[in-house]
Parts: sequence; structure tokens; C-alpha cells
Amino acid sequence: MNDDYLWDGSGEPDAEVQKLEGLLGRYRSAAPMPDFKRVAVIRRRPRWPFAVAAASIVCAILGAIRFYTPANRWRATDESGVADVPHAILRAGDVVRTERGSVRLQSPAVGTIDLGANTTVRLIENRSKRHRLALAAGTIHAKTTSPPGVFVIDTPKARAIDLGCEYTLTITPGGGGELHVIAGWVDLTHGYEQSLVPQGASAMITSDGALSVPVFDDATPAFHAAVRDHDVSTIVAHARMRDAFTLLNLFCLATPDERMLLYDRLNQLVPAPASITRESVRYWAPSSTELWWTPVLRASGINALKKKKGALQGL
Amino acid sequence: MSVRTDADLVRAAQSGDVASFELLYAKYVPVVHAILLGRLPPADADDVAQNVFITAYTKLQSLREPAAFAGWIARSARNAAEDHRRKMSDTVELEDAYVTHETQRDDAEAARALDAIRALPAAYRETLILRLVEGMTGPEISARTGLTPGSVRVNLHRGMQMLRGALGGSTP
Repeated sequence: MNDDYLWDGSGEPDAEVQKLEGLLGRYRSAAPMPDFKRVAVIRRRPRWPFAVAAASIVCAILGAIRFYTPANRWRATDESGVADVPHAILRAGDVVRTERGSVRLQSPAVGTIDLGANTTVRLIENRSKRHRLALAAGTIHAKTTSPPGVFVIDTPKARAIDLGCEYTLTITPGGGGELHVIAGWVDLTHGYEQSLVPQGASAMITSDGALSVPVFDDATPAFHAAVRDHDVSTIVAHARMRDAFTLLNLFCLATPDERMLLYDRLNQLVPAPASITRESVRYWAPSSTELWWTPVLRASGINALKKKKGALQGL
Repeated sequence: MSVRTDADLVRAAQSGDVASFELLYAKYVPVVHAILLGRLPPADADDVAQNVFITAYTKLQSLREPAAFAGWIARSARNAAEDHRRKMSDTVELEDAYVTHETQRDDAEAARALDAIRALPAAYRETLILRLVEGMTGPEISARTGLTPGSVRVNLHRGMQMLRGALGGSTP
């Protein structure tokens, strides 16, 4: 039999091949192309800064001490008398609603989680290496002593992974919200997006799940507003030395022309290593700015965490 | 207008040009999908194909020989299929996944034909899926798999011969 039709569709059609084409065409690849621009965000972070490593070790030691006690229970204390608490010792799946009051959750393995008014939380997991709560809406204040990555809060649009040791997280009924880190670091993720938020900084979650870059709370109001609006001209105009961290985080979200603005201002604040030129960041890849992280972290005061063990131990 | 080679596209993508990687995706997604469809339930093949490209994008810097992209992505797809099968091994058998739940006659015929193709040796299986499912011609299969045109032609001929036998001498 002549195979021309099987080979390239030319020649006399082969009825069996034609029928198989018709039958099997339903299995053809139909998945939409992933948004690789968003995938790029996951790669924007460098290796963990030394400061994170140091803070993590401290938290790991503190967590390990607690870990060898019957630690996985979560005790709920209704401090207002008006909350809906199904069990004093929560079971996986239990939902706590504070209504107008407040509730304190305590686990020897994790620490203390205070729930503000109008907050709804569900305990999803309480295993030795993973404690997970779902925060549907409201505000929590977490003070943790668990090893990094053990305590996780799922929100409707994002996930907050505790890297130690204190933060507040507010979620609106629409799913948006704000993370404010008081001590240590929190890794905020949504799909392939990631915002690694250090002590003294905040990040926003939009109602569609997009994450903002971290911004220090003491930045000027104009800087905060410009980051929120992604107005790069205004961002660079109001950036202080400490805001270098935010500028470096913005490269992955910027257009090539915006990266030139970011480069010029960041280079004024924290001179770029010799290998990082203006043109090398125009078409940015995570490796383009890798060597800039250490001096930027230092300039932003973030590696000071290493020297503040007392603050961590006090939690 | 010059045609950009895979190596050109990979180098551009490694420098952060997302559009170049999207071109590589468009060119190779049928190949990756065909490899996965030969090993996984159809319902999983699309999802795993997306994951293969997402992982490839995040690891693209590790590809030292840009011209080797075709072989690299195909290997990634085969490894991803094995990983996925291991994870799914205690849940749903392949046959149950697409035969038991599909009741329409054409669907059942299609499932039977796909099942027969999946029982063929890997070389014939992947080439036939590229031809009959993804709708590629022999020369296109050759260009995207790195196989010589002669090998593709032999794979198609022998694969189709075995498929006809498996289906009882005629299409289902």
C-alpha cells in the first residue's frame, strides 16, 4: 500500500487513516499557553539572604524545643464570650467565628494566633510538620516559634508561609488583603507569584490574587501610592535608601523602559556590582540582578536581623 | 526574513525574552502532549504538558546547549509522565479513566484506538500520536523530534501496520 497519505497527507487518501484522524483529533492538545510572564516571578528571588538563614536557625531551635512536647493540639480560648468556638481543643475541620469578639488560638508547636473581630478561621491541618489554617476573612495576629514553613495560613487568594516570627494578616470578604510583618519574614505566595516580606514591611493581596512587592511601612505615602499604582516615575522620585529593596523587587514586574528608570535610581542609592550594567537589566532575568541583592539588603537594613536575636527569642 | 533556530530562541529566552519561549512552546507543545498522551489518561495530559513547560521555563538557565532543546523538553516530558504515573498509581487505572466513563459510540471507538496505539512500542506510539492525534505530517514530526525523515516514515508505516492488526484489520 502507498503510504504517501500517511506520510504527509498527499496522494490517495487512506480511508482507515482518515477515520483514525477523525476519531483521535479529540485528544489533540487543547491546554491554553501558561502565562510565562507570571512564571518568571517565581524566579525573581535570589538564594535566601543570609539574614533569613540566620533568623530561620533561631526559629528552628526555638521550635525544636517545643516540638518534643504533645505539641500539635490547638486550644481555642474565647476571650469575649460571644464567639462561635466548636471545641476548646480544635479538631481538623473545625471553624471558629469570632463575631464581635476575639479568640486566642494556642499551639505549643506553633505559638499564639489572636483572631480579631469578625474573623473566620478553619483548622485544616495540625500535623507535626505542618499546621495550616484557612483565613476566610478578618484579621489574625500571629506570634510563632515554629520552624520556618511549618505554619501556613491559606486565604482565598494567597498563602502566607511563616518563616518566623510575628505578623498580622487582614483579609477582606472579597479575598484581598494586607500582610504586615512585625518580626522575621513571611513568604506570601499565589500560584507562581511570590512576595517575600521582611520585618517592618507590608505587601498587598488584590482581590484577583495579585501580590504587591514588599514596601517598608516607613516609606513616604507618595511612595506607597506609586507602588500600588505601579507608577515607576513616581516610585523612583520618592525612593529612599531603605526603599532600594522595593526597587530591586520591582524589576521583574517592570517593562524594559521602566527597568532603565529603576536601574538609574537604584544605582544612585546602592551602586551596582560591576557586572550589572544598565543594558544587562533591560531584558531582565533573575540572574541579571542576582549579585545586587546582598548590598541592597544591607542598604535596606534587612541583614540587621542577624544581630537582633533577642527580638526573635523574646517572642 | 531569517528563521530563528531553536538555539536562537533558547538564548533569547534565557536572557529574559518571554516571547521567544512562547514560540518554543507553540512549536513543541504537540510533541510534549503526544509523549504524555502515550503514557497518561487524556484528561491529565494537558495539565502535565503545562507543568512540563513551566518547569522547563524555570530551569531554562540550566540548559547549556541551546540547540539541544528538542531532546531536553522531550526527556522532561517522559520523566514528568513517569512521575505523574507514580503519583496516580493508587488512584485510577488508565483504562478506567477513559473507557468506563465514556459512553458515546465515537468516544468509545476513539478510546479503543488510543488504547491500541498506547500498546505499541514507544517509537511507533509517539510517532503515530503526532500524526493521528496532533495532525502533524511526517516532515514536521522529523523536524521537531530530531528523527530522520526515513526513521519517521518507517515508524509510521510499521506502527500503522501494527495498529491495523491490533484493531482487527480495520478501524474500530
